[in-house]
Amino acid sequence: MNAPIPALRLAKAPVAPLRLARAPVAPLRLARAPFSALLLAAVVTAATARAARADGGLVRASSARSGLLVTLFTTPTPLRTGPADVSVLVQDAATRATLLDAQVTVRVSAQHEGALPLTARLDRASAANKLLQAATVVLPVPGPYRIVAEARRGVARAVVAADVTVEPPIPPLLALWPYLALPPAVVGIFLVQQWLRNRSLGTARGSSAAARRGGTS
Amino acid sequence: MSTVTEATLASFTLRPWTLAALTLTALVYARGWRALRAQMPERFGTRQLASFLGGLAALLLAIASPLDAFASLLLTVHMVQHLLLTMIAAPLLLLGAPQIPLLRGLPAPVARAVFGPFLASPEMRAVGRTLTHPVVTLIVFVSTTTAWHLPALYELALRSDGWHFLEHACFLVAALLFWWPVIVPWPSAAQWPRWAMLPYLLAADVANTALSALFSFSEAVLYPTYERAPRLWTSSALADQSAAGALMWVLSSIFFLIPAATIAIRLLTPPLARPGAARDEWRLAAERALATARAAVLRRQGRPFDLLAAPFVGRWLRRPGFVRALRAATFALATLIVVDGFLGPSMAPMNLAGVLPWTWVRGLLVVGLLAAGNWFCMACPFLVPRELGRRFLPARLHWPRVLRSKLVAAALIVAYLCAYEAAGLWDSPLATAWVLIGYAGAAFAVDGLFRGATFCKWLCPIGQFDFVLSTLSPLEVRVRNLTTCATCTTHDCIRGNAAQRGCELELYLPRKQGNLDCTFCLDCVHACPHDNVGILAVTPAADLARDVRRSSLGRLSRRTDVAVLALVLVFGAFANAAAMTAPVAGWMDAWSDASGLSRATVTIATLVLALVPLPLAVVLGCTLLGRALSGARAGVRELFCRYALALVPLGAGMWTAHLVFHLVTGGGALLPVVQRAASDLGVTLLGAPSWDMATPMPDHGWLLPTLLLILDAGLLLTLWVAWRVTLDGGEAYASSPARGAGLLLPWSGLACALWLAAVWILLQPMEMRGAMVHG
Repeated sequence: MNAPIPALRLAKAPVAPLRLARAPVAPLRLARAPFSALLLAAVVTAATARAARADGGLVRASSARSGLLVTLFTTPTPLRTGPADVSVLVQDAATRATLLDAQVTVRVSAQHEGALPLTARLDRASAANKLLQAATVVLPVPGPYRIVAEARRGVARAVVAADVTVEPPIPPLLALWPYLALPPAVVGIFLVQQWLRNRSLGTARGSSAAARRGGTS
Repeated sequence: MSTVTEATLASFTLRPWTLAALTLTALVYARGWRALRAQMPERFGTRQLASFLGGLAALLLAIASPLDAFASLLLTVHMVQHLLLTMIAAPLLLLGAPQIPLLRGLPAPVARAVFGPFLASPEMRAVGRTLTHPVVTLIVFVSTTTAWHLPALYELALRSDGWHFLEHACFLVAALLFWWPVIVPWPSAAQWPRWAMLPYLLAADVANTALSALFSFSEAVLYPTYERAPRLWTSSALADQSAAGALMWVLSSIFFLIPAATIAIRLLTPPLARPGAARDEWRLAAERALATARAAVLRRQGRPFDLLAAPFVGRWLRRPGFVRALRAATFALATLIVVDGFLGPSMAPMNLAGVLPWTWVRGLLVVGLLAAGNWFCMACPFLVPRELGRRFLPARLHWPRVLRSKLVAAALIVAYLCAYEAAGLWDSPLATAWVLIGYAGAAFAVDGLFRGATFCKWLCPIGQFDFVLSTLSPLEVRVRNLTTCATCTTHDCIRGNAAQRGCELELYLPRKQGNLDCTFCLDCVHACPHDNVGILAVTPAADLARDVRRSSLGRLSRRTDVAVLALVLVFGAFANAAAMTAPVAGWMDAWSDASGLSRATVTIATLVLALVPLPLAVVLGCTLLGRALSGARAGVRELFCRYALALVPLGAGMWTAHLVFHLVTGGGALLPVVQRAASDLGVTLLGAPSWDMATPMPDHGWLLPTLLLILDAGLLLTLWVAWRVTLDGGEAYASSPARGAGLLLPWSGLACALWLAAVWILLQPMEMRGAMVHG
């Protein structure tokens, strides 16, 4: 028998957008200039750019209670509407030893009338830094928010709260400019490459013509 | 090991792009190193390979290990990360003498045609010499490290991913430049005498000492972020800062002093030959090696990669039973889809007929076409009804000459796109099942009545889509050696023989060009008595710029029907994607309300306008304008046909971005649907359906950039093809570079306008078709 099916509706709801004729070829002169090494650096560094920092980020608040020291982090900085990472580090207040077995929940509430709070259970699996517990929450609108994290470990319970301001999202064209600038940049490099190639071919033709003239005279 | 230590060591921040970039770099270097080792074993030994790979490993350790995860909590860890980048990764990379191996590792045409002009340019070489001059490198290194340690910049990097990335990029580039005069990676020449490296390293050490002393002896915490961070293993932020300073001081000094000591020892060791002889020998050896390497790069014109000659995969592909088994499997799958379409739930996200064809098959089809070729036609499930038709029906008629045109298929594609949108095929498993049955029936009837592969060649809309998009694929079925064909008397590749039929699409292999009309059925491979047909690597999209006589197709510059088919597919990509965006859907709703026409009528009218008159008018306008600007002697029809094909990569980019979007966001529905279908058949092994997986996957920040990169690739390839078409046209197209630019101008403008439209489409809110939303 099938498992119970939740109430469903077909989704129409908009969501956030998420061999050619061989031309003469200039002979290759293997340059001594560090071109390829710098290219390597560019490629490697570009490819290792991080899409988003997973967790950690800005310390928003820290509080010690019932023997637990709880530190609340958020990222990105500044917070903007859309996905945001909330993470918490729980330590023993006396020894500063990291406590990995605490249960942590977080409540994120927009400070305007009628806003429904978002609640999320934090876990280590969602965190890149495995000493932290993290969750991704989606902040729907800009404005003031209150983030309350609650950590429980046995009977000990500690709460830490922070008031934050969520800013409007960066306009998509600004946020995505590297991807939009790529075609003009490649076309620019291609034009320079063609200019260099044609100049080199012109020089080579000029030299051979001069050599022929020299030979016949 | 304690759990905290385990958790700490498990804190890797490895991302697929990082791993892919470093692996690709390692593979390119290793390929070049292997070739150079055969020529110059004394120059490229295991030490160079180990150094380079070690450098990449250090880079990986710096940016993807727990060091990265803890860098924002502890200054000491952040300092280790920077020292790994500047003092270990950079010199190790240079010790691998990466210039020539990286060039040799690239495909020869790329190394020669793309990088050649830059490498040969006197300006670029002068820039290189300036950048690697010890005075410049020292200034760049010291100023970079100092500037990035200023509190304002350091804090900026801690707060922002973009600035943090820039910081690491600056450190790596500055370090590569700094170590260049010290290591002098072969074949570069030292600009200063070796003894000068002693004060050079000493100066860097002095600057580093000053900076580290500031950290070590400061009585205030320099970076507020670390003051606010929770204390993990240190007593205070100040202690962490002092430890970071000490680390920077001691480790950097060691890394500066080791090469200084090595150079000093070498300078003090009495030379075995007359002064200067060693340097001359070094120079001559370098010149000889350079000449050898250059000759090797220019000579490298080896046979292209042949998939059929590849180990394992090639053997499997060459078995006649492989293709048959593949078709039987896809036919069985199509049967399951039809059965589920009729008997399963009516909701598309819960039905195989809703999820498999519209989300999975379309997405994988387009990715497969671009990545590897027309494998869908090879595995086409409709070949089974086709074969049955030929067995039970006469199959003797000839397809009427008047219908031997791609215009019929283009009209069918327009009809399909209209039906898809107006009738909501994606939303109706039952309609999907009927479409599949209709498709199979058409294949059965047409190929049962007419000779050859009439259905595939002239009618099948999916086949035409595959033919056109496979012009961009990197693999092509073609002869390995034309000389062998010149001596062939049987021509089994097209005529067939007693055991194997020849090409049903009427492609004579020695004259076959590109992938147009090729179904990758491999009949020609099996029929060829000389084993002279392979699946060879080709330059993607290069075929679009060639106007040669093709077997069965003739010259594409005279095939208006092929150009129209391509335009329908290109503009169809945009229309199909735009129709699912909120603004376009809203606009069609408003038109329907205002005109009193039904929504379906408005949808069909919009799509027909967008797919037939609009592209024809726009492309004809570009042709006439380009011809007027360039004074081209070539006819309007020829220019229309050739430049229309140049738009194919952009259309393919739009299709890919659109269908990959659905595959990624809605592909999760496959598992619960398979679980549900299996459960309906009494198979409980797969468990109960987990319908949560059928909900749309949120974009975690990587999907939209990836889709934009796909569009970028499509635009650039379109511009490249248009440029190659102009060159290929010669004097008949443009008598001077300025006239050539005039001819290209309207096409470039059209391509850019289409690209902007595609970007706009991707940025709009979209209907999450085929996925579930709880509510």
